[in-house]
Amino acid sequence: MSLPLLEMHDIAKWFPITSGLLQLHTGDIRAVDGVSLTVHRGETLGLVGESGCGKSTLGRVAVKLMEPTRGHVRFDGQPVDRLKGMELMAFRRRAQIVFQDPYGSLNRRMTAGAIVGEGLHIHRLARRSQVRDRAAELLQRVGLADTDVARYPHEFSGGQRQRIGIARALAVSPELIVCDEPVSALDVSIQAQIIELLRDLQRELNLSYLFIAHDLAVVRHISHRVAVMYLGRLCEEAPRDVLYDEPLHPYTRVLLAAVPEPDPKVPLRPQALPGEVPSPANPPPGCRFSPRCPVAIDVCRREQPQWRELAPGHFVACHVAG
Amino acid sequence: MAEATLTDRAPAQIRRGYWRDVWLRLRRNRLATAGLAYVILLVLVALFAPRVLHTDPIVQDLEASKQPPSLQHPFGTDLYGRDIFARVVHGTRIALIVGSIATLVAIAIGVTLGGIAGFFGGWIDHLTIFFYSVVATFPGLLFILALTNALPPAGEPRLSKVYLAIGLSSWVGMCRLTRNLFRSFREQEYVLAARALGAGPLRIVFVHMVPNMMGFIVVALAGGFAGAIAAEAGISFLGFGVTPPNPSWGVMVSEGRSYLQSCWWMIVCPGVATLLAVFSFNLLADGLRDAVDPRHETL
Repeated sequence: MSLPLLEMHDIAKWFPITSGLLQLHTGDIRAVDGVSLTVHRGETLGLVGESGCGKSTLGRVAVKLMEPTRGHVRFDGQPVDRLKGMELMAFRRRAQIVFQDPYGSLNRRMTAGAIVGEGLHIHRLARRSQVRDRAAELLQRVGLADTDVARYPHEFSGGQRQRIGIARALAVSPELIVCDEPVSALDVSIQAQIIELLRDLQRELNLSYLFIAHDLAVVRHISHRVAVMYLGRLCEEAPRDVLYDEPLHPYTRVLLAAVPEPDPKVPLRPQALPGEVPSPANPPPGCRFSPRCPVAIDVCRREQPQWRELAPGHFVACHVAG
Repeated sequence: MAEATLTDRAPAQIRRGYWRDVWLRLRRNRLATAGLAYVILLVLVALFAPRVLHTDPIVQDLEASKQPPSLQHPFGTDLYGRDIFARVVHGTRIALIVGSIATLVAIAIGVTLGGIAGFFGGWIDHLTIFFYSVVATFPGLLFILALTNALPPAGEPRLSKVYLAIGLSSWVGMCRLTRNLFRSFREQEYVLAARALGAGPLRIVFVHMVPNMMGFIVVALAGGFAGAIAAEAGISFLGFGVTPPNPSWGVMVSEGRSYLQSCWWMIVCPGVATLLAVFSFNLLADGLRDAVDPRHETL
């Protein structure tokens, strides 16, 4: 395959824990601890994991809102770490992010037109007099009315606000959009509409998405490949249908079992995991999932599993699988 | 293009801005509205009453000494026969001037320092926290008195030094507030979105952060006003503030102290004036706090 658009190699992001009067460094929250992934042009990589597993941190590292503690990010073959000035601005145009919270992600003091027009303004993509018209076009493109430019965020519903957030990202004609749980805060019926919109835009503009979500059902309809994350590490990554049909990692299996079937005849069979997610400040030795894993053996508690390719494109980090 | 369904409609079709929203929420709060009305009355009195009212607040009339409230002297007269109503009205002006100048000084220092600390973080932040924590440990009244004596003499004796001293002793709260606001706003998703769009620090601070903080700063301003008026009254009562012939509420309470048994109006009138002013500014501040940030309203 051609050169990937986004390439993240062995990314770690640790947040220092300090305590006491002198702010002594007493440990680290290992939000992300050695994750590698790639996103190709026109492709959607779904990234799934429960709250606090580090998926949002990874998304923020991808668009350089945070610097990784270790590892490096390449965008279109170019290292992103040392970008400055004009090069950084060029990168900002090409990689955008859409956030989860439809309330917190829009500045409530700005009109929809000003919010969407900001990127045009910053990157001088339109003359001052044309910004408003261009913003109106963008709003129409995401399914709002052109007259909505003059309205404020609180005048819109959650789904409409999320559309404004998408229009803001689209304004600078990006190639990659990190979607950080863009539908998690919305009603199910509206989730489907937003996902449909994102798919339309992808087809039309050849966009690449890193689509972050906490449940596998949402990701299924939009992703080409899906990666599953647990406590700062990847467990499994596979082409979409492979992952849903033949999951190899025990954690993926548990997650899939938790997805309700839209068929009343199929009985619910949720498998509750024993225990809690360990603290990312003090992760267990060996496989991070081992304390809760139903099939763990001795070696799982001692050694970290290798990232193995068990079938073409199907990677898994598990001693037991395969 | 997918059409918005019935469930995906905006909650309201009314077009309105942020401050209009704040105003509508404030108006729903009766106590706060009453506070605001009284504050407006005070401002009007301070601006116009001294011109309309012809009774001089300073000229003495020893024959009319210690008269109880009457039609001619609605609040009675003091030891020197001065009309207490005229003095209370003129005192309003002093109280509001002290409030304005002291809050402006506190805002100028607090917001600037807090903004720098909160925006840059790191050692600048640590240093600022250390500095304001030290200042915060000084006992308020003593600090003001010490400052009043330490500051070089200014035009109008003592009075303007008192404004400054109150301002210099009350910026800590404003600084802490601004610093914390900057810290928390840095992580707001719309600020992150602006950064991802390539917005520079000036744009982020002045387009995204400051306009969203104005509400909180206005709340602190109203609260600061209340504090400054109370502080001025306290200092003048102790005899370190406004010099006696001038009609400050604190001075009047201080003068009336010895006649509490016989001439209650001498202390009650300026006392109630101070109380109402401080109370209404505090009511307004509390109401504004809820109006500005409805999500934190007590449920």
